[in-house]
Amino acid sequence: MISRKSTMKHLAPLLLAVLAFDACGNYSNEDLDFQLALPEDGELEAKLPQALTTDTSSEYYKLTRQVVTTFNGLATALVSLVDRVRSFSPTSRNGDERIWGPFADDKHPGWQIQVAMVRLADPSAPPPAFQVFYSIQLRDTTQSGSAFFEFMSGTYKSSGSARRGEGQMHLFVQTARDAGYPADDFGDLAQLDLAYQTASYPIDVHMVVQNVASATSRGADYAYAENADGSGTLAFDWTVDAVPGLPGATDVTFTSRWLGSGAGRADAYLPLLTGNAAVGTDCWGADTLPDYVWRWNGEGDFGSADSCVF
Amino acid sequence: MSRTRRHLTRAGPRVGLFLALLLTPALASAERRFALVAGNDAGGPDTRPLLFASQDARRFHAVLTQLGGVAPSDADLLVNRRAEEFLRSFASFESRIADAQRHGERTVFIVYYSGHAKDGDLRLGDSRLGFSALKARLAAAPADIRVGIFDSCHSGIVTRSKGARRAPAFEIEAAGSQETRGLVLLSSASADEEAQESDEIGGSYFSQYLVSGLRGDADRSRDRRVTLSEAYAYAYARTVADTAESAAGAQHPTFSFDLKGNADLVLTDLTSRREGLYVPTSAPAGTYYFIDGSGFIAAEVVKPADADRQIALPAGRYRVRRRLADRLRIGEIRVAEGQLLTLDESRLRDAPFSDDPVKGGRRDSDVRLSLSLGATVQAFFDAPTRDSLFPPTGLVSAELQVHNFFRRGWLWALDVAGGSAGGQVTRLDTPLPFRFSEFTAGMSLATEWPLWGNRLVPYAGLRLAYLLLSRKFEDRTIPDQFLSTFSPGLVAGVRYRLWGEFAALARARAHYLLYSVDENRSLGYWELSAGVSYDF
Repeated sequence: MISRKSTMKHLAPLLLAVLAFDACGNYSNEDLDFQLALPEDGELEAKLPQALTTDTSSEYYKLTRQVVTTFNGLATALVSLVDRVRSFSPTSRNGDERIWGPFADDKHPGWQIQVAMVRLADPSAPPPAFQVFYSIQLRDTTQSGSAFFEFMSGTYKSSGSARRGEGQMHLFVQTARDAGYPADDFGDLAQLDLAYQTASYPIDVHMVVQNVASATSRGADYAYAENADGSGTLAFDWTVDAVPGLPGATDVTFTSRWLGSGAGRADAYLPLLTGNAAVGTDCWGADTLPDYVWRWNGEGDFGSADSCVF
Repeated sequence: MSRTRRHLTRAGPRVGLFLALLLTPALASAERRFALVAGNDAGGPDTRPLLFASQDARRFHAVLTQLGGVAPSDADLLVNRRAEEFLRSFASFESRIADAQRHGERTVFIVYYSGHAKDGDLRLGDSRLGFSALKARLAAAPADIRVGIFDSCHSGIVTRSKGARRAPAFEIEAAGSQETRGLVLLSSASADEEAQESDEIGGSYFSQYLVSGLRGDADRSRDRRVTLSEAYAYAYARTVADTAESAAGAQHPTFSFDLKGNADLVLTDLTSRREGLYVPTSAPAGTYYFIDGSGFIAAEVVKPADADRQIALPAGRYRVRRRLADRLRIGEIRVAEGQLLTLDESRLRDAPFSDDPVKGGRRDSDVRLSLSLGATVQAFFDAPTRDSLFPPTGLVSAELQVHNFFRRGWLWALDVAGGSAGGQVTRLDTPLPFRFSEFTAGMSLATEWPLWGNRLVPYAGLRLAYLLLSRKFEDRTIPDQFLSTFSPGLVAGVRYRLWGEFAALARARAHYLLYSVDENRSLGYWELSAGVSYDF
């Protein structure tokens, strides 16, 4: 039988502990604004209709597919940097500011990571529209007095919806390298800038890649537009030291358009030193097989331009 | 404070005649004993609940089944049961006794009742049992010896002092004479008196002393056996002495009999159980109290100056108290299994009255458990909170209620509840549906006010709850959210007994919740519950 004296003896410290207990958790409506301001995984990806790619598929379709894969890889890498923020409760909440961290960078001992988000009223839109600024910051703890610097920054401006709006993201890899951060995972990348608009169709995503000076590829510019019916456009400018087989060519402009069915068209343009340009066009159907092929040098020409959907 | 009870018989204190008729003890052979023991704290709408009636029944039942000649299978303890159940049990015993007799066994049937009686009826809750009819039925029972003991009451005002004493368990061996047959009736008070109970002794005076005497302190013949006459004489003397100065006046137990034969009933054989306490002749005279670990008086011994005393005590640790005019003598003893411990006066020390070890002792038997299951509706007072943060929720709840645990009339309750509801929060015109879930565990401490003979029991008090609130959004890109916190509140309810041990329960709670995730906000919520409880 439990004695009352014993019960009271144990209840008293329990009650004291309870009084000292503070509520814990992440149950917050306000946090939703911050979480929804961050682009989610897949949201900024180019969506080329899925189709079976074969050896006989259109050459430019296959090139489009490769570009889309690269584009999506970069977008995913950038989004994933901030996506994890959603998985954790802020370390501190202060009105319109949320801070996660600082945390030790397990992969790079001696470095700390901190994520900060600030929500402000949008001066260009009536309340409750808002804009959010966020950044991923790094600090070298082995250097006394070192301060956090921005490794990535972003903005988001709502447009009548918590999830849809326009925003920018910037990844400063070279800045991190210059500060001594071992950014080996990023290869030749020096900076990545991404701007997007998801409030209404067409959805636009513009990505600029700047590589380090020593890289053979100096950078790329991607412009993606997505319509409500599944049709889309991806324009791709690529600056390189040389294009194999095309002496003097350093810039590649490639524009691909497609319908929701998957049928599409791509045009390539490579200015040459001669003043001419290497130009080509492919049109393909929903089965990805070429309906029309045209090259500036006549190699492999096929079909009629009338069969192109664009 | 004491509570009074009305007598059941008008036999008067004819102790001498009783003793004469029950003068010669005789041991039983091939005897089988049956016991129906009932206690009921409630007596219906026009009575106040008793404090110790059920306690008295438990004590008497324990004596008979644990240490006496009554096998547990031949005893029935009815606590707070209705007259219909009492009669069903009685009929069952009649049948079993008849079977035993057909097998040549000599039988004794003991019926004990503690509770209210009024207008010639025993009051078992809100049911009644005519005393005349019961007496006639007992007289006609097939047992060789029928013993009826009635410690009955209906209402009264008495003065109860602090402290309580719990009756010890002790050995009973009963041996009816081969020749003795008939009916013996004992009652706790005469016709124009009210029986009394007291917190000081933790029971009714009569039952407490009857049981205490049977433990060994009534063994005046010093033959290590306590007969029915010895027990009665002891209970009579102690009851009269202790109630003489009470507000209700002296209480005189009575008896009546219709016996053939001249042998007494031996109820206790202390030699059959060795462990206990021996107070030698050399020990100072006085009343010794032995208090168990819970602060209850487990046994008492009135020791004369020129005699020793022995009492059966279960193995365990006890504190000893002997009261002098200006101080206490206190000490500690340990009775080992199978050991008869001799009390050593040198192990006692002087202590002020403020160190009385009896203080703070309480009544185990008052503790009552009930379990309730029900449905609860919960909602926050603040509309925006209710609409977008914590939506109104239906909960399934269970509560374990412990009555009279910390204090008589107090309710200590432990509860759990769980439920779920749909909700939606809108951010920038974007609706975000979610599934809200809640788990709560709470502890309440409340005061009860029994009405209508315990049929209706309102209560009110404080509650401390632990809440685990969580929500999952339909948009799975939004992480799950949770809040874990404690919440103090108030609780009020009412329990209405439906039938038997079942009662309907209605309850309201109001709680405070400090929400501190985004900012510190003081929130409140209410709960309404309905359910069914079962008393164990």
